[in-house]
Order: sequence, then structure tokens, then C-alpha cells
Amino acid sequence: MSTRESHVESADEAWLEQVVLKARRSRVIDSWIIWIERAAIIGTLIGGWQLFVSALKINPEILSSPGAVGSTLYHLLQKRVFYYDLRVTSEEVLLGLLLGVISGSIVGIVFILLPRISDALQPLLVGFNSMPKIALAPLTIIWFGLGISSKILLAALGVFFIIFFNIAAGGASLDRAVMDNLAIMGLSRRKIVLIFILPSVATWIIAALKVAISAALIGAVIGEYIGADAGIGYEIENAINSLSIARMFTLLLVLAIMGGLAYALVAFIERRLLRWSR
Amino acid sequence: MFLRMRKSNEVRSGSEGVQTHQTTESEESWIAAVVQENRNQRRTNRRIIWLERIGAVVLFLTGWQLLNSLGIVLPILISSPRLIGSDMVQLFQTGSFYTDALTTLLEMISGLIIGTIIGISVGLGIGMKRRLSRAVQPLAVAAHSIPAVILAPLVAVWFGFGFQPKIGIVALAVFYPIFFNTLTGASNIDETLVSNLKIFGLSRRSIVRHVYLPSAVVWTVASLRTAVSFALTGAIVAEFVGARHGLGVAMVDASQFLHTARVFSILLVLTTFGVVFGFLVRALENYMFRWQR
Repeated sequence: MSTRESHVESADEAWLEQVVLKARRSRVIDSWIIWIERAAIIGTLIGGWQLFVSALKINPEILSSPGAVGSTLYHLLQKRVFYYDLRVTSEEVLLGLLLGVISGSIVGIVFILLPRISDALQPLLVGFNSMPKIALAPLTIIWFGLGISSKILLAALGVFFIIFFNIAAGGASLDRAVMDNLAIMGLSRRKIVLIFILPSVATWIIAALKVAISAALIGAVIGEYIGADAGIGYEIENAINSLSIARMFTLLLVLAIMGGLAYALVAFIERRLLRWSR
Repeated sequence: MFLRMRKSNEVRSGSEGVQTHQTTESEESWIAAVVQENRNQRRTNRRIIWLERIGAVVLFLTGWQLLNSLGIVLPILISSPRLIGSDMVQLFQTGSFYTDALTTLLEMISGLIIGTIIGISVGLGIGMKRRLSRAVQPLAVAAHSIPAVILAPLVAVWFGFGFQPKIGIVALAVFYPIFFNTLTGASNIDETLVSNLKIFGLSRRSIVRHVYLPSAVVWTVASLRTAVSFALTGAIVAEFVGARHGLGVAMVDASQFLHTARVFSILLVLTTFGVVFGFLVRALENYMFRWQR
């Protein structure tokens, strides 16, 4: 900030300063108010839930209550098995994401570099894109059994298709003329890829990351729902089968928090990397 | 191509000194030949591309069949086009297949319709009120982080494994993207425009019809493609979690008996659903945005 003169040039400037300060202050207060409003809404939902359940004396097997969920959570956090399940599910999601992003980018870049092959494979690709990826879940279980690998594969498959199609679609928007010019100027194929294609690819991947992590989450959890031996989804199925509804709600809450953290992570990466690329 | 002036047809415009050029007959026929060659080339190119595409599919299927016939991979794992083909014939002859397929289709369509209607109404309703949409937006983003299909067992616990709860799960899955997009579309309306229209005396209803609805509809149709794919996913997951009829159940059953060919057949049917619905959505998009082109 530049040093201020002891006297302002004119009354107009003083007035302008006051307006700006007032606007800044009101903006700060405004953002506080928004947070208060959000907390109020969440608080109302939780309070309403509790009120609803206790006032109407609803069967705890159906709706449980914030109190029961709270105490179950407290007990869960003290069991070692819970942390093991957490680790299993997180591994499935993160490894699936990693695998899917890497394979999707490699195949995607190859696709961009070989336009005739991408033209030829068009109908196959349309078919594969329209295929609901979780329909592959029983197949992954046939292939890899009930262990963690089948869920990693399922998550990775979902992520692969998303990343690959984003890159393929983005590749169509690349300026071929620039690429041809670079080749004419004598840049080796490798250098063209590194300098021209990779930055764009990185942008497309980051743009698709939110959808990708959603797909990874779905793949991992649904895989656990239909056949697993560990993981939060597996525990949810167990809770349902043993009619421990409070535990089911608690685990769903844990899943929601995991999803929220994953999303926050992706948003953070997005912001960081986009700022760096400017 | 060299520009040659024909002496008798030189045209000179007075002040600017611009000289136009009349093409000679040989140049004209040359141009015509080039254009015709271009057209032929393009037609051949298109034919080649289609041949390449068919060739790619044939190559894919042959490779797959070879992997099985040569015994490189066990048929239990990846089956083979021949086995899948014969299984599909069998499948189309079983009565239960049509019940299952119809069930899944109906779940998907009903859930899609209900989810879209509720999503649009709630999205518009909240989006039109400034304070409410500002407060709800972050909650919506947070809720977005839990994919709706994950809540499928919850719905099953509450409402059982019948047909209606499945529609509920699909509607829930479809609701998220539609609501989110409609909300964004509705809350992105320029407030000054609305205030101006109110000053001009436009009734609230007209404002909704002519300002909010078009903007929201643009955003909604944009999310329709996602919604349709979520509907298909939702129907399948809902059946995975537990059901009596449906292609998802048939698939899980087949996988538990290691009938890999059956699993692939059903996968093919589901993919066909996806392709057909994809076409429908694209047709709808083209229809809705025809004035933009």
C-alpha cells in the first residue's frame, strides 16, 4: 500500500474511502451471516430429526435418532476394526482413482496422437460409453473375488472411462494446425507431446476430477455392497442384516464425511493447480 | 495458379485502380476438376472410415474369440462372442427375461420422470429466492459429495425391496444433478433484470415464465444427459441391493452361478438401453436448442 498523504486531495476522495471501507465491512459481516444461516439450517435439520423421532415415538429401527447415532459413532471410534474398514474403503477409492487417472490419461493421449485409430474405434467407444459401469460389478467379483482388488478395479474402471472420454473430447478441440506446425518446425513427437499436449491434458483431468472421484466412490462402495469381506460398505450391509439401524445410519454418516473430504480434497487440488497454471 | 489478364476483358475501376480478373476457360475447367476430385476424395475417405470402423469391431470380436478358442483365457473369466451369442438366443427365449427387462426399463423411466419433475420444481422454487438459494447452495454442494445410489440400502430398509422403492432410488439419483443445475440456472438470473421487469409491472407469474424458466431449462437440459445415465445406474444398483425382478438381479444371480456368458448378455442389453437413451437425450437437446443453430 502506498503511503498516504496527511491531507486528502479533495472531499470526494474522502467520501470514496468511506464508501469502500463500509462496503468491505459489510461484506465481512455478510459472509459471517451466511455461515450462521448455514449452521442454522444444519442445526434445524438435526434438531428437527430428534424432535420428530422423540415426539412421534418413532420406532428406532426405522429412523434412529441423532443421539443414538452419536453414541454409536463414539463406540465405533474405539474399535480397531472400524479403522481397518476405513482404511480398506479409502484405499479402494484412492487406488482406483489413481489407476483410473493414469490409465485413462495414457490411453487418452495415445488416442489424440493417432487420429485414424480414434476414428476407427468410434462405434466401439460409443458403446463403451453408454455401458453403465457399475454393471461390471458382478464381473469384477467373478474375476477377483471378494477381496479389495475387485473394488479397486471397479472404481478404476469408472474413473478410466470418465478421464479417457474427457481427454478424447478435449483432444478434438486441440488445434491440429499448431501441432502440424510444431512437427514441421522439427520438434520430435515426444517433445510435441510434452510441451503442447500435456498441459491441456492436465487441465482436462483436473476439470473431470470431481466426477471421477464420485465415480470412484460409487465403484468402491457399491462393490462392497454386493460382495466384500471388509470396508465401510461391507459393514453397512452387515448392520442392515443384523438390523442395527443406528449403526447403519452412523456408517452412512461416516461415508458421507469421507465423500465430503474427498470432494474438499479435489476442490483444493483444483484451486491450487489452476492458480499455478495461470 | 497464375493470374493472367485477358486483354479484351480488363476491367479497371477508376479511382481505386482495382483490377478484377476474368477466369479463362482452361482455368475454369481446372477449378471444376479440382472441386470434383475433392468431392470424390471426401466420399472415398468416408467409405474408408466406415470400413475401418467395421474392421475395428470385427478385429475386436475376433481377438476376443481367439483368446477363448486358443485357450489363453478361461471362458469363465471373459466368455467369448460365440458363447455370448448362443446365450443371448437362449435369453430371448426365456419369459423371465422380458419381465426383468421391462421392470428395469420402467423403474428407470418412472424414476427419471419423477426425479426430473421434483428436481426442476425444487430447483426453481429455491433458486428464485435469493437468500434461500445462497444458504442452500453450499449444502447442495456438500450433499453432492454423497452419490445418491450409496443411499440405496437405506431406502431398501425403509421401503422394502419392491418396485416402488426402486423408483424412489432412481428418482433420488436423478434428482441431484437436475436440482443442482436448475438451482444454478435459476439463481444466475440477473437481479437487476428482474427488478426492472417488476417495475414495468410484469406479474410474478410472467416473470417466472419468461425469465426464470428459459434459463433454468437450458441448465436442466444440459444436465439431462447425466441424469439419464444416473437413472440407468440407479436402477441397476437398486436391483443389486435387493429385488425380485430386474436385469440387475438377473445379473447378480448369473454371476453367483458363474454364468459369465449370461452376465455379458445382460450387460449387452443394458448397454443397448444406454445407447438408445443416449440418442433420445441428444435428439431432445438438438430439438430444444434448434434455434441456437
